[in-house]
Amino acid sequence: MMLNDMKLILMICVSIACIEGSFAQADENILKTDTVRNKYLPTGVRIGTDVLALVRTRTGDDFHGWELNSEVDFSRYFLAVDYGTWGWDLNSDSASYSNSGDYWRAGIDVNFLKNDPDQNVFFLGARYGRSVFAESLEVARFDPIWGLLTDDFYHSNVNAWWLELTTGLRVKIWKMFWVGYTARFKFALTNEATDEMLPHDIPGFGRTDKETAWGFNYYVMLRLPLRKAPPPPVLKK
Amino acid sequence: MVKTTAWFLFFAIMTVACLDEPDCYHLNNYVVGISFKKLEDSSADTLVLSAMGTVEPPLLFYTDTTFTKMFLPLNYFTDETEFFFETPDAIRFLRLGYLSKAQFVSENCGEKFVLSEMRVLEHSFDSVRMVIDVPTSEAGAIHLEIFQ
Repeated sequence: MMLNDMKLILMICVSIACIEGSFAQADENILKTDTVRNKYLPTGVRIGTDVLALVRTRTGDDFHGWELNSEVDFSRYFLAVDYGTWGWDLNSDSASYSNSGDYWRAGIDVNFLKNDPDQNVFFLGARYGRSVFAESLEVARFDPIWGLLTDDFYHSNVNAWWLELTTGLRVKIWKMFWVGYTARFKFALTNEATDEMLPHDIPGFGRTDKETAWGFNYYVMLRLPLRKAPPPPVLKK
Repeated sequence: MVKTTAWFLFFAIMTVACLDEPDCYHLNNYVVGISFKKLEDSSADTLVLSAMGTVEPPLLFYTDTTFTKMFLPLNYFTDETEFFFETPDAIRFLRLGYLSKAQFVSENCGEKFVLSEMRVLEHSFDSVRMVIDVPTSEAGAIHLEIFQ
């Protein structure tokens, strides 16, 4: 892995440690209460969709895709599962490229806003992602030495998997309606592409010309309550 | 503290993501560097050439010149390139094989070809040694040493 990536991961770890430290200090001002019964039972499920993917699909000719997102809480921990599909149709002077495929991600987020009365969330987390996709590349290229090349390259049912570090916010807007974003640092990509062609873009991961990729989703969500949330801790006077 | 960190992370990630455009120069790694050496002591040798080029397609790169090292283009449309070296005494051949994979880069840059696993398939020199098996995008590195 590149040195810059290592620095970034280190920076994220230090940030987590700092934030944890600040919350530890804040916790000292909270009265110790009895152990909350059924603390780890889910209080609700959030289901949402990525607005950016829908807007891009609607406004651009080259992209089509959507993503569904779900989260369920276990105290300050969230189990997150995403499912989506995307595809690109890209053209240059000498090549036409298109791809399409499905992907899913699953992972855990840790909420650092433990005592927020609205249950708003600022989280750091990790994901495992998988994608199955197909792609094609048509080339008509003139080389000054070797002349004209016209060739078609195809991939179908290619498997790919990767890891992500995530951070983001979830904010209650009104009753059951929530909005939020997730920023993703994607790395450790592995794929089973064939010998003739290298993938350009993997649905769910993004471009493959670098070892790492960035992602950003903006979600609108519905939160379906499952049970009443435990009362927030009482502050010392 | 939390709000500041959240905004900092958000803008840092967006900034880095926006700077992620590839440049379109030297996309194909199709240059192979060859140095000529004496078989007795591995010192630099000078090759006197009447003509030099490729067999298929029949292309002529150089005539009546001398080299101690040279940089040649590989045909990235195929998986092998055969060169001929015509000296005053004889015609010698060097056939190189490699893996050529196409990859779309961007709408501005188009596609590129990534070459790897280069190997010597056939030659009529006294000895050929592979130093680096991945061709480069610019002249500079020596991939093959030819002894005679």
